[in-house]
Amino acid sequence: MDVTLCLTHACNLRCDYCYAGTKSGRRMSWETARSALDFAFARTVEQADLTKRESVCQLGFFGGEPLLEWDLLQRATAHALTECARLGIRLKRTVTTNMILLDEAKADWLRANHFHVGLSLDGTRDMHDRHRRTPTGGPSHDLCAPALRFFRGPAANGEVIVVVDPGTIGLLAGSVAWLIAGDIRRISLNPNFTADWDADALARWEEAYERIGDLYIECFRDDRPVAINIIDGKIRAHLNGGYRPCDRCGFGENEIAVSAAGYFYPCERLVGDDSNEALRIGHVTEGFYPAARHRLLAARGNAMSECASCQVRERCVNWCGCVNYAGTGMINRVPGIVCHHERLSIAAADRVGGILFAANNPAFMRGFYPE
Amino acid sequence: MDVKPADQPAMPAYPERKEFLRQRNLLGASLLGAGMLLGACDQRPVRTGGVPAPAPRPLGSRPMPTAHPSKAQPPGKTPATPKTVDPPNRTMGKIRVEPVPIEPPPRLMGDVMVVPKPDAPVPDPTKQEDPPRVPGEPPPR
Ligand code: SF4
Repeated sequence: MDVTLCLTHACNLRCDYCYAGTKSGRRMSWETARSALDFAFARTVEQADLTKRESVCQLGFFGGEPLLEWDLLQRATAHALTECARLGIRLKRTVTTNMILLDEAKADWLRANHFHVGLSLDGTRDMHDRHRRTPTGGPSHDLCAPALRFFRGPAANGEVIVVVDPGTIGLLAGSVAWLIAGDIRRISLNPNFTADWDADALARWEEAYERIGDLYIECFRDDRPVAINIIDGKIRAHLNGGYRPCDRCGFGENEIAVSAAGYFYPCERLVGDDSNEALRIGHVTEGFYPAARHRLLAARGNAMSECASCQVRERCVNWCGCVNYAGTGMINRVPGIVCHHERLSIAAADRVGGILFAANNPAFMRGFYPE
Repeated sequence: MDVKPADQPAMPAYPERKEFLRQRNLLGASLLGAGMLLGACDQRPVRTGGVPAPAPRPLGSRPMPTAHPSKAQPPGKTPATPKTVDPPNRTMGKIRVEPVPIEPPPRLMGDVMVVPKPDAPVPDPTKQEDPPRVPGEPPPR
């Protein structure tokens, strides 16, 4: 079972599209962190016994800004490594940060401890500072971007997470180009599905994805391949004949996110400021709430009859409970904007994939059709 | 904005792994690595708070040779102001996502419309009829 710990609900930024809700000083205690880890590891062992598969657990640190709780993050990691060694669990590690507190020593430690680091940065100064502001309303690009230097090149242990918002959609492709020029090779575009996307913004979105596709092709032609989630994910979904079970979220079944106060949620995107009781499925002191969890598990998936006849449904994330919830208030009903985005990214990915495959591009063939 | 089912398959111009492997086998290629080619389901998506995507693939390639503002920065110094890169000229053909006509949603099971035959007797809605009996079954209570 994967576990994400929201170490704190405090943050040193006030990004206006943040889905983590109102910021507060609530922080996770060591006892809560340890209990949550022990709970997740016990479920991991149980699940591996049942499925006769390897024990694997992904431990994520999230917030607020998790680097505000650096000592707790290190202590929890040490405990997780000890316990996983004892229980025979393969432990994967991730942390998502805005990089303000990420200095060389921390970056070295994260690399040495095999962390995959999610770096929240919207690319260029123009784009980033539009939404990502300090608590006093100031710009934050100069505070965040310097730490990018720790994550350059193909072997970097991180990805830059860029929020795609209608207010900055015209700057998106330039931001991706800026990141690529800085040798950032893994980029995740994270659309703000709750924003108001008008016709003009939708048209610019399509243009932006097309230009990002062009950049992607140029990188592969230059034998410096990049990974951009909206392209890679859709190409791989096609290669595998659709999203496979393991590509989908564990969402409360083999994945929990734990708030600072110890409540369990099905996904880190649903923790918010820990005030939505309808989404809680347990607590570190009580374990799962069986009725609440089963209600949620039973409702998972996609209840949209429209999707049953859709020709691209196997390559669509219509099953993503947190994205659905954000747009429709129901975990199994897809918002129209997600439908639009999925078809847009499939078209962008297929154009790129078709061109690179036809050219027998070595980097593409190596990456997607490995020997 | 509504959910609009695509009424045409995407038809990408690159093959699924299975098809690619089949083609290679026809050409006499070895089956070594078939598990990988078929996309063995052993990696869950990496969770960093973004929209879910399959686990990252390795990127073996050369580093960028050119200087960049984020590279030149020695630790602890104030960063240079990075410039926004001008959008590159488009070189690729444009592919449009055409709006797909909205079709009426497929009828759910149990929502089947029964069209009576013209010569069939019209049933009396006030009369409760016994269901047809299956030979050998006890009569309904
Ligand atoms: S693209 Fe739209 S209609 Fe098709 S499966 Fe996804 S959400 Fe449903």
